[in-house]
Amino acid sequence: MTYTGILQILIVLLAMIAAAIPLSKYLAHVFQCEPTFLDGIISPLESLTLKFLKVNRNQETDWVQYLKTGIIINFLMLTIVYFILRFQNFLPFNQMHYPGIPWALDFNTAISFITNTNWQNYGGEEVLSNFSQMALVFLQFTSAATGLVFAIAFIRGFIRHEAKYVGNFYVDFVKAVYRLFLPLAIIFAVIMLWQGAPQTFVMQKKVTNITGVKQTLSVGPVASMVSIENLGTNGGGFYDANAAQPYENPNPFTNALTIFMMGTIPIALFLMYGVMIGNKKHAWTLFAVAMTLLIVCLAVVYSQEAHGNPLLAKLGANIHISKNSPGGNMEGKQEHIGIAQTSLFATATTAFTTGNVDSAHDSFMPLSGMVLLSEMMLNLIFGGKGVGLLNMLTMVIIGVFIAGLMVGRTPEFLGKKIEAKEVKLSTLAIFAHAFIILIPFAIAIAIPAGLAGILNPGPHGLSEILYAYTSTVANNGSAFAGLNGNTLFYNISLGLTIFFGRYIPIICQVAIAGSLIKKKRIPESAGTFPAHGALFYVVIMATILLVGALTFFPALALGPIAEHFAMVKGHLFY
Amino acid sequence: MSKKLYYVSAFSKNIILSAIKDSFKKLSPKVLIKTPVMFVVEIGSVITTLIFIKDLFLHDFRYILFTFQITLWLWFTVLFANFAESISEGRGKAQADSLRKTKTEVIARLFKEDGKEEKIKASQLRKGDTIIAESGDTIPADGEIIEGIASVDESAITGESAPVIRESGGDRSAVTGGTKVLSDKIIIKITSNPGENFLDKMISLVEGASRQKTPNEIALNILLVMLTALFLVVVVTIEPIAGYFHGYISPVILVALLVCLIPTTIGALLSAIGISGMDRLVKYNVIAMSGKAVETAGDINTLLLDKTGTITFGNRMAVSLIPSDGSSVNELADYSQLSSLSDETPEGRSIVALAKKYGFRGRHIDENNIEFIQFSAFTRMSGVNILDKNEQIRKGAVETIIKFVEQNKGVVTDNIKKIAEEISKQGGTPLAVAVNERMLGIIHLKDVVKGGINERINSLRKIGIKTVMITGDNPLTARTIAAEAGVDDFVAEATPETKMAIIKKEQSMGRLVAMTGDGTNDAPALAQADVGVAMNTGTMAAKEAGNMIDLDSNPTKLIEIVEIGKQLLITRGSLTTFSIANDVAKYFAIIPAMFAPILPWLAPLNIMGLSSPESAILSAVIFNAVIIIILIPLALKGVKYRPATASSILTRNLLIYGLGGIIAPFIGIKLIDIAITFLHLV
Repeated sequence: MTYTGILQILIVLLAMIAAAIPLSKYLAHVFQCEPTFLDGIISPLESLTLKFLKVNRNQETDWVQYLKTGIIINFLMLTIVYFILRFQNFLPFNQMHYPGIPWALDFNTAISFITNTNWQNYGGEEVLSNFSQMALVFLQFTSAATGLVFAIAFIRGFIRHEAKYVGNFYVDFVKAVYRLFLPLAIIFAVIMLWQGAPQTFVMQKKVTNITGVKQTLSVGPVASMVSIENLGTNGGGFYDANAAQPYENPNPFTNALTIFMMGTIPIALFLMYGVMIGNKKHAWTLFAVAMTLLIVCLAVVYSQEAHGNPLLAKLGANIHISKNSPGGNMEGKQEHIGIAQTSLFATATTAFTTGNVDSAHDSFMPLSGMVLLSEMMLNLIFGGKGVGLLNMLTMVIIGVFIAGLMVGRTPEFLGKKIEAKEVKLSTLAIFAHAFIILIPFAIAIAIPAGLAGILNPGPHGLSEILYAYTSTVANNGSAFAGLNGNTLFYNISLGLTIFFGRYIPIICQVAIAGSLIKKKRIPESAGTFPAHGALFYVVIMATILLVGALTFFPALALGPIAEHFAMVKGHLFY
Repeated sequence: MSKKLYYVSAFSKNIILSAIKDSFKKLSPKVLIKTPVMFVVEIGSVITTLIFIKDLFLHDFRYILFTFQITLWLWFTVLFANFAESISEGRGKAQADSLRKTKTEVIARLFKEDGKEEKIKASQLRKGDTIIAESGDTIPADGEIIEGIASVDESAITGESAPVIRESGGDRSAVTGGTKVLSDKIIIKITSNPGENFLDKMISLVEGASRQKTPNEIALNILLVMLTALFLVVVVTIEPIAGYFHGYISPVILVALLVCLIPTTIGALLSAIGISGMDRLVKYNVIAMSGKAVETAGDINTLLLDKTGTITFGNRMAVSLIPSDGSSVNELADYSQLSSLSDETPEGRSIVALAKKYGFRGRHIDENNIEFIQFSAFTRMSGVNILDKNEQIRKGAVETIIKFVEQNKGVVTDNIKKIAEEISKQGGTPLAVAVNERMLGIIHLKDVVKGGINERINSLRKIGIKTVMITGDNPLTARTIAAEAGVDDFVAEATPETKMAIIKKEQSMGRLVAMTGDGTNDAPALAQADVGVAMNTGTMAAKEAGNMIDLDSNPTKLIEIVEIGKQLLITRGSLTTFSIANDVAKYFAIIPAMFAPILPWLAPLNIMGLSSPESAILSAVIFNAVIIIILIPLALKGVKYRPATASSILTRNLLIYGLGGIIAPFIGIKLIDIAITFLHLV
């Protein structure tokens, strides 16, 4: 680890927090229908859209209707994109005459993008027409908005009392797209364009490079995809290699900018929650929990990567920092980006469940791999759009329930009693998450179709499969690489884990909102323990570690941890 | 507190013996399925038992000793859980048995319209019948006295041996079946059918026959079931992982891991905690109509306390003597005592007692020389005439005594009036004492606040409970008492309707309210309150409206009831935390052990340095079983509760049961491992 490395990391983290604070206030205004500075431009557009959709903006619905609307619209968009990809050969912007995408891969891809996962079993530049790429960009906007508005519905469960209606899905959805994602995406697309990302309808460009070699470059509307890909924590890039491809991530600045794009909105959502419920201290405490986890994870990854593989050192590799060498473990990393930023990128992309990668996670040290896995298993270190907040609050409900009993009262949280229904739905969400990761994983390692995909034997191969299912269920979409996912088995099974991993927890969580919103508000007294401060921090952290992490301990112990100890003993798996 | 006749200790020999018997009976899957966590353990035990039998018949003796021991301890785990529940039920059953003894078949004297009597069995009595009961008769069923007055021995119900007076009309007219008339004759209208009497209800309540799971218990149960399911998923994945590494893990070990991970500790003790919570109330002589009421008590935000009986003793008492200008304190004390010698009211007695402090005790007065003047509504004063000294001693309201003095040609200074006014202002009652023409001074009578009530109310405030004093007194008096007791709020000149209004107001703000009451006009408020504690001396209507009955009729107990409710929840929460925290150590014991043959690199995870894989697994399973037995007393007694802010209670319990829950099994498992190795058990 170097001081400049740490400094680079600190600058990016602080920039994210600094930007998240004003953004959180803006978002709270947006979703509480208070005036904002963009009203002049956006309000007319918004009204026009809602009029076109024949939506009465004052007509709110209960949670069931809200959820139903959201899921039906998701399904509609899924179907449209499925057919666009399937029949892209009949559609425009396909100069290369790429054929339609085979059904299994298409199924996997469409589900993957509608759920904000962006798991990619294909190399975009080799199979997708520009039209198809832009169809995916469309989903990158809507999937991020979907997650966000469900979180808004959840928050309303706390701020409304003895009520029934959680809001109007259409109104919230249009607001999320028009007032958050579109403006930001435009700004950042321009910045990426300026930094060197292509933006054109041409699919391939033949050039002669400086050495005189003729080369064909794949190009397309890249800048516009890169911006929403990260702002929406989608992670699906234009190119197979995502941010490890220089057109998506030309330089260290864009690398830092990409991290900034991923992290700012998820952090802002935590803080927005505090503004909306009128308890900023509480939100900052949850922020502290998530930030601690992020920093601990980052510290492990960075120190592991900077330290490098001792076995390679024995073979004569230079793992020490010197003038000519960054030292550490540089396998699968980009030299101009370096270990510090790569570590931050990997930690961020799994924490914010983006899934965009600028390095090969497969080549990370075993314990770094474990950390990346754990971040997705928890799926609440700020997390993806809205979903991270939802998962954090689900865990908070469990923690508050147990802690509430320990102070001798029926547990209550933000003035709402936590009763059987909330406990049932929260635990169900957590159970579903673990079940959908572990059971398909167990099946995959037990059958030949699953084992056929892995490239490495031993614990490392185990981690590769575990990573695939964790990444899809957490709707992350990053790949460990080292696993060939474009097989019938993986296309279908990962498509299903993505689907269930996304919607089951969300259904549970919106149902919790539906239950909370009906409840009376209980005034706070000295008998209620405060939902902020050090004690609350400890309760939530302990719950996350005991309930969230213990579940995955055996799988992690037998994958990355075993690999680590094996490495210490001198065994490698290649 | 009076001795509770039917309260039984949990650890008597009989109860333990029958609890052991019950533990085996409860192995029946039909019973056990109500405790899903333990049901899973039972299924696991059956699986390992079958494997043991299979190995035995196939003469596969490689692991048979290990399998046998694991199986044994798994069965113990289930039995220990059953034992915990049985022993908590045992106490209730024993109490119910002792109550049942009082419920012998009684002959009732049915009173017919034509004035004749007919003797019938109590079981033939119906609601609305009229009966006669005389001294020596046991009252056959619950009813209301419609004629007469009697002293009744209610010890069968309350455990209190002193008889109580019951009379027709007013709030003391209810009688309970199973109690005994000691004197006089009463005519009773029966108010309940056989099997629905208070005694029947009480038996079924203490026995736990009608016990239903409370809302928090249901929620916690869901959490435990989901955790069990979660760990089942975890364990299911182990076998494929082993297969991936070309290894095989015996189902015995998988079952052991599962049982260790699922929250067996709290699963085993959950119902025992609930039952013993109700039980603790019984110990305080309070009968809760449902477990829910006990739990709600812990959630109370506002306590309505009747001034009389709860905050004060209810009688005005002499607290100080203020002499007039021309007399001394001793003189005043002397005459005050003389004037009160025949005054049997609590006030009069308190004056005698106060005077004793000035050294006037044990006086002998020639009865012929003294003439007692009783209080009458006409004269509005009382006192004595000492005949030989020709002294007329009088005490009474200040105005009256001033008139008396003036009639005797005496003069009263303005100072006396000032003193009297001052006392009134403080909420006290001034009582003037005079002898003939001399005004001696003033006795300060005051409604005395019970000792320690101030601290109790303070500690309630600390845990976030607001106290509201309800009194019929004027606002001035009420304010004084309220300030002295330290209550948060008071309502003066209250009527029964006031209580109802306050309850509704508090509830509309989302608060939960508790109150006590005894009169029929309290009944609507008792029913409206979230926790309504009816006094046993109260009317049937009040008892039916409330969700708890205090057999001692001591309204101060409301505070204890709240504490018991809280303690119940704290015990559940703490043991849940303990149970989950235990998993960390168990993972570190079992995971490296079970994979030792397959992934030898995992050895560094064996941070406890357990001697062998078999011993590690066995130790974890033994710890898991034994901890249940160790925690039974805690479950029955409840986690220690001290009134404090939520934060400090939580900090304390997190340290003991959270951090302790992580550390304890590391030590426990290591110790068991040492023992196992020493004894060569594996």
